Amino acid sequence: MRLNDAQKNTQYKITAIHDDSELLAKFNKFGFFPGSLITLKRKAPLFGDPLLVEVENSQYALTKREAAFVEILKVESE
Amino acid sequence: MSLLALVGLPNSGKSALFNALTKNRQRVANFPGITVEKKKGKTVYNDQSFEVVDLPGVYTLDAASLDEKVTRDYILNKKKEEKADVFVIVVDSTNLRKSLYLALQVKELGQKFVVALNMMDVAQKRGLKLDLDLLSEALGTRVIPTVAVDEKGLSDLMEACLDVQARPEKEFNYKKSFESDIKEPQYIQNKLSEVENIIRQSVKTPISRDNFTEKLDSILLHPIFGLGILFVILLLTFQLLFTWADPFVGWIEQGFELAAAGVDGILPDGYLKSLLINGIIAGVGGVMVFLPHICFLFILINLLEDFGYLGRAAFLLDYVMRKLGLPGKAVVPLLSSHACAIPGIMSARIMENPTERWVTMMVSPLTTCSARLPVYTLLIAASIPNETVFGFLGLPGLVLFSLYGLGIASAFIVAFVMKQTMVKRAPSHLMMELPGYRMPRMVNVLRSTAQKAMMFVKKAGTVIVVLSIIIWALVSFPNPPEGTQGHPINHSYAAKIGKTFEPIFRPMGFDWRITTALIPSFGAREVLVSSLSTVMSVESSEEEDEEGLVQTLKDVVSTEFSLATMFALMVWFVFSPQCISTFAVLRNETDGYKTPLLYGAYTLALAYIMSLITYQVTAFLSA
Repeated sequence: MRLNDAQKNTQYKITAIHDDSELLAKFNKFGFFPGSLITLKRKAPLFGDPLLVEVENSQYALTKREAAFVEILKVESE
Repeated sequence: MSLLALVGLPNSGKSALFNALTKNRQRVANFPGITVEKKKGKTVYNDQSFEVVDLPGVYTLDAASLDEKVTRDYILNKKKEEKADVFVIVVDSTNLRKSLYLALQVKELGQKFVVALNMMDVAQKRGLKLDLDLLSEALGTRVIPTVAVDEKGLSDLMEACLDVQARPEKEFNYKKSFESDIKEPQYIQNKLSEVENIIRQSVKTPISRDNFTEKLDSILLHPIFGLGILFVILLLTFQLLFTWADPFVGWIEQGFELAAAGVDGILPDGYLKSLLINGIIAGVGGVMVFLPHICFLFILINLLEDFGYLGRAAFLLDYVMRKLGLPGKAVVPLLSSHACAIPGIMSARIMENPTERWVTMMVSPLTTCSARLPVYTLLIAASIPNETVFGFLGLPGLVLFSLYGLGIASAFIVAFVMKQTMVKRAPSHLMMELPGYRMPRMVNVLRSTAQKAMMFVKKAGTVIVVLSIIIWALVSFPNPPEGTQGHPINHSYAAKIGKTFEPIFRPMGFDWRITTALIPSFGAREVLVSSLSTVMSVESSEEEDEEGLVQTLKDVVSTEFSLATMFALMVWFVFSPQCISTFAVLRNETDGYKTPLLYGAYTLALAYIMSLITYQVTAFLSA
């Protein structure tokens, strides 16, 4: 699934980032790599876009369109 | 003198460290040819002076934006004009993982560097325990805990810089392929696992979550409270610029009026006196009156930015603003421009994307600034009957409201058109980090505000004064022949220009008196009221009552000009190139003449077409 369809406060693992443009450089510099853990914390009050996500204890804002490039997989709790 | 270069992630407290080290021995300029701010300063330790440069924040050496490239070029020894002796890597101790990536890249290149573990107080409060010796060993350099805002750890840091600088030079390990290599997934993976190793070895107790930020976010980003608070802050910005800055503007104006009166008393009548009063004093005064607006706006922006709110405001507004064609942060310049486009355009610096920043600067002057209010008031009073419509709305108020609406709507439309046509369709990304909340330090806020104001006075100020003198000359020269009737302005170059261009402006109902009066109004919009009364030979009554003058002028305007002409003039003021200060600040903010010239051309064309349509339609309907 993609990050824009994620459920709130659920932990996911990034499996791939489907973008090879300038945006990928942004994902890289913010530490969004395949393998990173990611959680959707909030959606913006108006129209639920952009999203606020957490990676490695840092928070990031990104639009749903940007989030759609991030392939994620739910982390099953043991 | 040795040069220390501060490098670090955005929000790592790098600028706070720079302020703590250099205090008031700072110079702010732009890097040559680009509008990236270059902050340099001096610090003294053990009787030895150091130069310190505060490089733009970066996450890695894989640079995308202009400011990131500046920092990269320093680290890759590509800056020809200067070379740093020691890099100080400013690390956000509350987020070691991300900061260490950059440190390892600098280490890999063989540059001399020390690490400042900044914000150590916050990190310790949140339970972080570090083995500094192990960390220092892994990084191969000195590692110093600092709290920049409280000026803690500074002398240890300087000691470490001296120590590292004295070490033998390492080979500069740079290959041509470096910039492409660091984009390779394999390189990134290797660096990441290296970071992970260092963290595993040196972190004894990991840091706990930032509960304060989380709690505050649940209020400030709340669907109801969050939007409510945002609305209050935007309202406050408006109030600050519109009402609270006004007395300061008044005092500055009075000061320059006093100076003018002083000169008036001392010098004999003549060109020198006229140049001093109407050219130079008016010009310098015209620069200074912007300072209250600039200072008030930047104090607020800096406070919100340092606190961490600006990104949140963008988060709240991004969707709506993006539908209108601009990103969330554009709300600050657009809103501020309703008071004055000068601070508005300057505040576009908060936007990271250069394309969007440029478009926002281009359209901000379309919103109705407060200097246009006296012009609208005069024209509305002269053209619109004071009637009530729909039972409760005053017709004059409705027209004024429409003019404001026309301004903001056209700003968005022009921005949309520009993004579709003129600007390379660069992708527009929001993606940004939302840093944890932090208490802003007033001294840093004020220092940064003062630097912005100084830049404006020095750079834009010069242009404004020169242009004011040109306008003065156009209005004052040449002398009318002996014994001529009427105001001397009717014989000036301004009037000659006005008459020359009259045929072009005829189709929108402007005669030479209007075109002539428009020329001095480029100095400042509100001047139209006085310049119009000059060319219309409206003399102020004996007691020099300003309201009386406007009243008489209103009567003259309403009898001399048709309704269509007055409407066309209002519309002209919505779209036309605004004051010379707008040009000066556009030149200053983009470091070139291309943007202000382009701005002048598009607004002139737009104003001409819109006024023409307004005149023709009104004339047709009222015939």
